[in-house]
Amino acid sequence: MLKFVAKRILQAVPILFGISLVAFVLLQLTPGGPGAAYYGQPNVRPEDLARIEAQYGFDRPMIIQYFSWLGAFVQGDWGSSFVARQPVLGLIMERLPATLLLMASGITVSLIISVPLGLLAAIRRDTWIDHTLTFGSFVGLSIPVFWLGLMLIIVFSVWLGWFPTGGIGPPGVDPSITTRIWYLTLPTVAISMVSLSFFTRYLRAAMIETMDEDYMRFNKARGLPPMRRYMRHAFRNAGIPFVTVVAIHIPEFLVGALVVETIFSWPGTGRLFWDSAIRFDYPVLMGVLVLGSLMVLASNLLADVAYGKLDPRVRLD
Amino acid sequence: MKRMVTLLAALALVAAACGAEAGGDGAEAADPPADGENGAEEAVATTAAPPTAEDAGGVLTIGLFQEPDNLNPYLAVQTASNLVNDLVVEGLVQADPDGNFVPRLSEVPSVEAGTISEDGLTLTYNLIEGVTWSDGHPFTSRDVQFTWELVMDDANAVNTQNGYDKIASIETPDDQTVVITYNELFAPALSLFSIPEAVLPAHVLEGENLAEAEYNRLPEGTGPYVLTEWNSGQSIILDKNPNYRVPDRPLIDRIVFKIIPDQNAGIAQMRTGDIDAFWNVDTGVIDQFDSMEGVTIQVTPSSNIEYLGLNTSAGSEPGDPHFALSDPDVRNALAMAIDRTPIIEELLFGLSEEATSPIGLGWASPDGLSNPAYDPDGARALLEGAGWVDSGDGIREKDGQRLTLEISTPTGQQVRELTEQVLQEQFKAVGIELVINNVPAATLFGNWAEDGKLKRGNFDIVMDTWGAELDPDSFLSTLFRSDQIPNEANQGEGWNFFRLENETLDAAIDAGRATLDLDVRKAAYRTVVEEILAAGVYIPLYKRSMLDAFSDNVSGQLPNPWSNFTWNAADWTINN
Repeated sequence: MLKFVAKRILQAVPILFGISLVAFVLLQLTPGGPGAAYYGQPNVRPEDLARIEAQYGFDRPMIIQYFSWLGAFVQGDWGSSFVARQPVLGLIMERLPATLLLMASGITVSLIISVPLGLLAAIRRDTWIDHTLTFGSFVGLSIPVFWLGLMLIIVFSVWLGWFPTGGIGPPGVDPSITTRIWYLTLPTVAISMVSLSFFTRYLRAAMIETMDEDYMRFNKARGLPPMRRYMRHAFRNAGIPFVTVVAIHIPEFLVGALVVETIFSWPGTGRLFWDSAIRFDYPVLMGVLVLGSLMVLASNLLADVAYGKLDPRVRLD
Repeated sequence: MKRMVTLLAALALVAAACGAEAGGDGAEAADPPADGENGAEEAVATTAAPPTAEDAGGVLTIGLFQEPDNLNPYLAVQTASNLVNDLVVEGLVQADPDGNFVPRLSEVPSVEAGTISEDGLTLTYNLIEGVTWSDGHPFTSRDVQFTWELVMDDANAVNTQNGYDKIASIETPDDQTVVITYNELFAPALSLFSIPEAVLPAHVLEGENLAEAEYNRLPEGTGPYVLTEWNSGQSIILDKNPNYRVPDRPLIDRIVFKIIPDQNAGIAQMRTGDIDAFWNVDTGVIDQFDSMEGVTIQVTPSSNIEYLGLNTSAGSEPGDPHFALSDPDVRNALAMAIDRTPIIEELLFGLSEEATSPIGLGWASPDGLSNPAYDPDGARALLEGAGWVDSGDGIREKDGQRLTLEISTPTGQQVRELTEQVLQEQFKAVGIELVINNVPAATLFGNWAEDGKLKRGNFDIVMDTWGAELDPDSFLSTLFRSDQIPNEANQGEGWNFFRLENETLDAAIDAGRATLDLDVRKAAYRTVVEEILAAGVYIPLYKRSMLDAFSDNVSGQLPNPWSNFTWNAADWTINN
């Protein structure tokens, strides 16, 4: 097992290298650039722009710029933002807790709701309950996150006034746990809708497949009570691929956070990424991209490890 | 909504700044309003009535839909940054609402006082006594000297060294005196270290790496407020500076800048009272305040002018004439075909004024200018005379070429898009087809290598906002001087995208920057403006107004076109 994990971590290094190179080149090829912030400011003369660009090394060939970024990065120096004029790592770390909170809240809520619904749909297969849930999850899967977010704000914040329109808490006060939840509700709904529907569908399918197995029919013939059959025998087996799917799905919450944070002015890394993209703040963009890639690789590894742990038939080495 | 009081106050300021209609002779930029404007003057006085210490205390929450990038006045680019750091950091001098320099950390140097040398090369600043930084450290002449050293160190990558690079030396004979000697005459010298910049604390920043200094987030200053915390993406909180030099000021205990996502959120939060003030309301949403009780819109005129820029060339080289716009008669016909009334009254809700000059406000703004009258018949006659005749479908043509012109502006701005449609109709009425082709700002303003439309001369008409600063020198020389035409040879340097070549204009720009004598400079800038308008390449549309919403709980504000709306926040009070 340890050997497997070590191998996967080693494999991740060239992957990260590749991702960062492609990201760096794509960012630089985007029209515009950090100089765009100075448009329309006659006080910033061409010689000023040239001086600033030389200071940041934009006048050097792209590949040199990349390796100079990489060289510093592997030594733990993530560079400094030329918008905030602060160390990139500090900026990201300041925003990361908010994103993790939103992701954790989204994953928890998705699971709490999708597991019972998935089980119910499988057990009550082909009844009106199942059909309603199927319809509901297709709607949930099809709703674009940004649209859902805006609708939630319009209905529950603007019309009904039940929830705040955005933010993580009132400014300048340490929020109580209820205030936290109050601010967290709408963003959580927005970020969990797609995954929640997807998880429900997946668990239903996995359960049905397991329930059609011969041993389940035998269990029934043996006279085991239904709840015991479903929970101990079917769910245990169907749960193994479900856990894997959930783990692989974690990065989706990171992507969701990018949209949800922007709509709900949630002060996380997703919004930092968005704001930095507008200003072509390359060092911050690279930092967030690398961090995001790390999270994807880590989720995949987690999925594999969990699979190996839960399913005795799978051996990792 | 009570728009009137502040609008009157604003008008009084404009009148005072221009001295035009009332003064008649239009002599001094700082002329007080004449008799006819007493009412307006009283409105200013009411707004600015000095509050007493009993009004002190309270928390003011201001909504910002733009988060400052950083709070270092030499590094920040966002307008919102100046709004916040104006409460914390201070310059040597500042501009009052009329556009005159007034003391802040120093007396204003002048030739009369002997603090500006006859040749204009040496300026002596006598610093105000008894000033300390908010941490208690004394403010001295060394801080000014240090600020200059910091700006001139390339490693610090400041936004601009313009002017600072013309300083030969800064001497500090004693703690209260700064003597700045210039290599060559720099006309906007009084703006340095002051507008929009400030003096930095040597004791905090000496030896710091400015690319990552904590100062950029938590600036140390001499101003009325101290930055307490900045919760990135959420709020910036400022508290009273206990060491502020003015007794009993500031009055409000705490100012919270709340970062909100957009205009709509700002309007919603003004309605619920979550914020007491909302900075920079979009003209397009101003009608949503009509039904709001207890909220006043403050109208501040600005020197930013919305204008049409006409390209006289077919490409980047001025020698390659535009098929229609190289002809002055066609340009004049365009100017005569425009009726600004529907734009100002319908699209801008009457909150902006017609612009008549590229320099809209301040001492350099010439008096008594007017636009060519709206005259569609005259425009048609001019076009006929220039050989552009109706091709049968209402659009003119000449030598088989249709009179079709393209207009461009950055995408995503509603008022501008509607203005284009109004212009489309008005031009069509005289036989000109106007095609709207809006592009992202980066495409329009991009540099030479990025094939920016303006730089490459790849446009007919651009609609844009640009404004002169208090000192118009760099604005005028970058946009209108002949050597600032972007072309192949200079790899797109300069912003004279009109591709206007005029020797009289060049000479007048040079005369304007050759002296610190304001009377001489004013005369030079009048010539500059008259030449630009006569050339017809720049059609001023309207003066952009800054609109800010205030709850009626807040009082003491005074609109200042030359600063941020927080410029006199030390005098504000709130009742909450």
